[in-house]
Amino acid sequence: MKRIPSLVALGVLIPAAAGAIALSIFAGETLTGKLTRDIVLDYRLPRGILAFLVGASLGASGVCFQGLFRNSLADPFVVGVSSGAALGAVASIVLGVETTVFGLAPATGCAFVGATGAAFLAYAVARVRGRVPVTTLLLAGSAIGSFAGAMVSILILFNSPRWSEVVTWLMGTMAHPDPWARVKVVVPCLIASAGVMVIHARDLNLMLLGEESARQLGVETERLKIFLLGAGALAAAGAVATCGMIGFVGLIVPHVCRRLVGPDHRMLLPVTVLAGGVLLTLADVAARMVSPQFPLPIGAVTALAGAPFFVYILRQRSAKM
Amino acid sequence: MKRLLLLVLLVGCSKPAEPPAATREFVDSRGKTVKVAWPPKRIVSIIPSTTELLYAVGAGPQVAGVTTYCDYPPEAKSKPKVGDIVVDYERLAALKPDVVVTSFSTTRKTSTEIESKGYALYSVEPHTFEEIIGSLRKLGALTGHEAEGEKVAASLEARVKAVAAAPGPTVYIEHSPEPLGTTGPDSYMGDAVRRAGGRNIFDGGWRLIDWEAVMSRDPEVILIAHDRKTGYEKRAGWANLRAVKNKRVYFVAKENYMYPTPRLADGLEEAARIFREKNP
Repeated sequence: MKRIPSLVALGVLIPAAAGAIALSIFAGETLTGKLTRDIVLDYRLPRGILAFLVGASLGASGVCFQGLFRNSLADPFVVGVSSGAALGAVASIVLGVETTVFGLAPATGCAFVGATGAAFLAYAVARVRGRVPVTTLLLAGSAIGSFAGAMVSILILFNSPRWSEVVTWLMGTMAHPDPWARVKVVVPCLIASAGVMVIHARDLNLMLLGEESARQLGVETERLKIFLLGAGALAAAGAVATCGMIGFVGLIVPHVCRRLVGPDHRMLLPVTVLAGGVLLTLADVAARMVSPQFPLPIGAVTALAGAPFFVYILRQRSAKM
Repeated sequence: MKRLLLLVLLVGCSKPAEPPAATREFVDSRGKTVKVAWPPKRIVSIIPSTTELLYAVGAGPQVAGVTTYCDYPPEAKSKPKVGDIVVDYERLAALKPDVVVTSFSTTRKTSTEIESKGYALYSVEPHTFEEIIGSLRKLGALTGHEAEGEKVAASLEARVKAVAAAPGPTVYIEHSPEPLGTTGPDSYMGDAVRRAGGRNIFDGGWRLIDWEAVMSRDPEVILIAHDRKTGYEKRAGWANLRAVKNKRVYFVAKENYMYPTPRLADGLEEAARIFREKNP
């Protein structure tokens, strides 16, 4: 695939983002129901914005983890953060937690605690004599992710009456009656985490040369790992806690963007954030057009549409080689 | 000695030793003819609603096993458990049931397995009040409590008939907050709303729903039949909904709506009272 200049990519993506959110105002059930100001401004608009922010968060988390671990398979799922969030949310559902956590709905708050908890645990496990080798961190994360995933299965098995709530959550959904409230949860997570990532974009570039080289070039690698792991986990936590497990975006979007604009994180970061947002917003618009009354699981939609596209890109590359 | 041991083993392996009084045939909700040692002395119920129906017809003493979710009537809680949603087949075998009672389509996999192990499986599957009433009669006959089954069926019939309300306000009934779950008229919960005089804003049966569909239909009455009591003000357009403006959002006890049993008549009567209320 041909590289395209980053500024061109940004020039396309910024209007695309606005367009996608605008488009989401027109998606939904218009024929049988009457369209009110509330439906447009209080439901469809914030839903479009929420989809954009969640997609952007997943993209940010993915690009951050892929850069930090120098591994294009790293994403919020592999690192254990998503499973940690799932465990938090499912546990709160199953155990019937009704108190709010940090002023968030029970499942949201607990997902948050689970995601950051998993990241912290992975870091603590991987830390040996003050050092955290990235490979160990990645492996520790995936081990913790598997463990949390197994706990989720067990919890579901022991609490079937609320299975539909759990399953909807695990498949990811954009259909919430309170989209503005969820936007308010995602925004601070995305701003804080993306801010940390942008500040460390140059360091991330140096990490691509290898940890040793990065350290010799003056990067405080141990401190960098803490910041970036925290930032990636925070971005994913905001997304997963509000809309459940939406796979694919965090893995594929950074990957495709890297091929499009190259590995310089100063450009790759904003491009991925925008592309992730646009992709998820469009996926949600498509889902609502196909099924306006019955909410489709958005994670399934992104995977259904995205996986063939990804295969196409892979094939294109192998054909050249 | 060896022969004796063999004999003991053989006897130990065999099915219940005592011969059944008689075998009768019953046709269940699937239209399947089920042969049951009659009257059944040991009945196992694998879902809460059939447990409740069995107690309602007076077959409680014959109930030998239930699930961990069977909490009504309270006596059912002290019965031996055969599992939760998953049936433990060893425990089921130990109870030597004469018949296992369930709703087939909600327990399809388990029911099929139970049947393949040679147990008599009897299914009732009420989706309307008529079918609840019919199920009471059928379970009365199945368990040898025909008179009592008839009595509770007739009393339920009378209660339902007494309500017979004319179509009143438009209604949205919510049985699950996350994901948003509702039902049209084609379920027992929907049947209760319809008979109570509610005009359901949705058609069909049990379904998940996008909140926008509720907003655009702007129901006159909202019934909340689940445990979440807070956070509604965060919902899009909540304050502008007719039901909210007119203070016609009602939090009702989910137990009176969530089971196809005589308790549903409590829900029916409550809903009818609610629908008759005038906007303040």
